[in-house]
Amino acid sequence: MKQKIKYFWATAYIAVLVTGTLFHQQVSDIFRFHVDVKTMTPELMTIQDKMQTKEMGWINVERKEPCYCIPNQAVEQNQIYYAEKKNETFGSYYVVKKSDVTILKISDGFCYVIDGITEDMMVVMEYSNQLYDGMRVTVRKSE
Amino acid sequence: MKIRLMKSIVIVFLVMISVLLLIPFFIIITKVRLDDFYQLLIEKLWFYPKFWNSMLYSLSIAAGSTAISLLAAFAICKGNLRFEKIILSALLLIMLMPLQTTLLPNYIGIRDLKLLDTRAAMVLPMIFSPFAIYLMIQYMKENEEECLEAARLETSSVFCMIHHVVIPQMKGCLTAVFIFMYLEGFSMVEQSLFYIKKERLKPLSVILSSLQDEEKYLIYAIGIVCILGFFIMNFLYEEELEAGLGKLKL
Repeated sequence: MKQKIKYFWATAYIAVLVTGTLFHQQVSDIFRFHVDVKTMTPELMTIQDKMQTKEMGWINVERKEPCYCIPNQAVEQNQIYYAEKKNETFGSYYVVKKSDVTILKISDGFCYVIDGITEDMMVVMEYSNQLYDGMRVTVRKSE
Repeated sequence: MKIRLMKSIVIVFLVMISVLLLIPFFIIITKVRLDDFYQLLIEKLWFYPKFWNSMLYSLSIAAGSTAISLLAAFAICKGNLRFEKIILSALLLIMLMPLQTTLLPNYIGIRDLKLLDTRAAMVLPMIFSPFAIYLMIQYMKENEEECLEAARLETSSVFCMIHHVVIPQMKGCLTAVFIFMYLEGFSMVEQSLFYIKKERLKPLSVILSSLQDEEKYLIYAIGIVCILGFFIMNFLYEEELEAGLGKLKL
């Protein structure tokens, strides 16, 4: 009987660790508060910009600027959130990171961002709860 | 009367030392919270690869060194070697050397074999353990010679003799060596720092250096998880350990 109890504890110890290894994400999903985010990948485009420059007096110039177009709601005080996939040996998860952006122009509900964003970023458009830097989220739909 | 008094003093002294040795364990228990286990076992994904690396290394080392030391002890004890005493002295000398002195030669050997940054680099040097061989030799010397002589009449195969005569007689010692080497494998630090640079191959014992400040509170939970494994192994093979070590005349 004593030996059986010892084997029970040994089996329980190994079982907890094996279950944790294989199913920790499922267990985590049960207990964790879910924050769903909707993401999009920004498209590179060119925008014509009119500006004044001081070269031998003030003159109007028109320039073509490469920029990324993202919805207005994704930008908050010149900052955006983007989802980043963290890969580990036994699973992966998404976290949101904050990034400062430089906005060239805002029009028709869209922001034209020239800096602080790249083509492979998954920019967060909508979220179900207040986000913070490094927060673990569930990416439900990616466009 | 004097002997009794001396015995009582020794017992009190030993109890005090035992209590002192238990203090770190009690500190760990008081510091750890249930939430830490949840964080460690469910939320922190880096824990499992490192834990299984440690298990893989320590089990390989334990199994390998037990097998190698059994064969080496058999050859030294029963092989009628000419330089048995010299070999024993050399083993003792190597056993007494601090780890740091053998680290560089081992490193050069592993580098020349092109095994740096592999799992074999962690396991191979530890498999050939002079401590395990010495322990096995001491135990084997106490074994009855008659059984082996009787086996020699039946077969000329050394492996048959080891399998049918030596191993059944040495179960206790084999268990003791396995557990000692498992513990040594689980707690090795220097080897993993020198032989392995890849993060994914590193064991749990070097996690302290790479833990970030906000995760430092998890070290108590890690300690408990590791200690539990040792406890369970110790309780499982308690009788074999007692039988194995009790017979030794070191």
